[in-house]
Amino acid sequence: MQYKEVIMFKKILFATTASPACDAAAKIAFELAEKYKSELVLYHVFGVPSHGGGFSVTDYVTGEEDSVGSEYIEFVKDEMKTTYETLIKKHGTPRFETLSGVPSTEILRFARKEGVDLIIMGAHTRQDETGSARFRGIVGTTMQKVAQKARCPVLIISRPCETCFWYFNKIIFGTDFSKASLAAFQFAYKMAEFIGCKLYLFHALDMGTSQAGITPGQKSIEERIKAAKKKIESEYVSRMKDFDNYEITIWEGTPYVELLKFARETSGDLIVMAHHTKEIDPDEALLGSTVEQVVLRSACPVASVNRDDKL
Amino acid sequence: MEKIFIDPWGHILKKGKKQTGPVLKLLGKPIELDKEFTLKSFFLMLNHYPELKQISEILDSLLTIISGKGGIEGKTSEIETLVFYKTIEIHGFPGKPKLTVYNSLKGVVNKKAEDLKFFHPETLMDHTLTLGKLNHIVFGDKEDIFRYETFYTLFELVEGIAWELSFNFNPLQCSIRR
Repeated sequence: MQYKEVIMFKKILFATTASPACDAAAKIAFELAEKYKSELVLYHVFGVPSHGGGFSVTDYVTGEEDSVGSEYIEFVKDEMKTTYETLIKKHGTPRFETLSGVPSTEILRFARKEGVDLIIMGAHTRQDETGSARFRGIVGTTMQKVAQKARCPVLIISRPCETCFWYFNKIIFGTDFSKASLAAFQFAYKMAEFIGCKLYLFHALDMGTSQAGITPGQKSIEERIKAAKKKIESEYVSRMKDFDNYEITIWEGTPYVELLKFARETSGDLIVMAHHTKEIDPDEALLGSTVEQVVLRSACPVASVNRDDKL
Repeated sequence: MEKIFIDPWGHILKKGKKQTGPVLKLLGKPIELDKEFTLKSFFLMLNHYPELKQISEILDSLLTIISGKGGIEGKTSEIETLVFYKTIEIHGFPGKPKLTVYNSLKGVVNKKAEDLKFFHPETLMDHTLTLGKLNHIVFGDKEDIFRYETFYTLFELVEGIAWELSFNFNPLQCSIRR
């Protein structure tokens, strides 16, 4: 496949804990940077500084506390180089950056300052088992905060994948017709056009939000499907110029379930959707948003896009 | 507390009598599974008692996937059996004190629990499913887990399996194990 001589992502930021939980994301970050001839920055943020200026971290390997000085920072950089040795040999040496602070804040600050085009992250900072309550509530994690506020697309990798990104050829764009979804569409379309792959425009009619608790009848569902299809054509298809390798699909049900089912059925390689910037009510935090539910369970990478600043 | 029994064909029996009506009132009852109970039995139970599908939005979709499995082998050779068990985990040092309770569905290989999220649900259907002991993890020390006899309710079984299988939406050609 011939790629256009345009650089898709000039700078990719891989935000990593440099622990095995980020291995799947690391592989895709290195591959993507090589594939798109992008500058890759490996960025690691130490935890929150304590009061009074004192600052210590607990090493995840040894479990021991250590004070953060220039020596420790160099030690961590060396550790990162060792961790990613195989990937470096295969794909080249990235730039290593480390800093202390609140991870989500520092990642966002760094991305803005450096004009990063894409942030890549693992979905979880720990390798918890799926049954764990920690796993059930991912709200409040670094990933969630970064995905909500980043000005550039955030690619979230939940699982290892050998084939997905390098040769991916099916992009699924999931929309709820929000303003943020338009930015997500622009990213999905740009990617599909750049690669020359198929773009699926997908919407799920949320049957859980039927008015006044009344389940809509078949006629009403069909009308809503028709209206949604029309909306996709006017809001998205109209912006695609002469790109015709797309398909519109409307399903009804719970949005995240339908999107996962659709991705499975079409063997999608990448799901693109908006992560709404609205702060989530702590009472509803355990449920999370559609994108969080998808990220948690998706077998393929999920790109969260909220703004079109970097598109 | 009075137990209910679930047979390999997914029928719920109370005092030896097959239940034919709604079973919502039995959700809080402790369960006993037949020795031949499989994951397929679980889905047969959902077909017999459709109100149980309301417990999770994922169950209907899983039923669709499983019923359309075609010629896929319902028993992967990578695991021997399935076990459903409860974990109580105490956290709190360092950090805020916290106690979490959750149920898990795992594969068993050489007496070790194996994560199921990389398996396709179709390939797990014919494995027998047993109820395991309660695991008690103190302060995150998974090396030193205490195990106790316990019971499971019908609700825990349905909700727990639905949660675990909600991670199994992998495309069929993607079969990566870790």
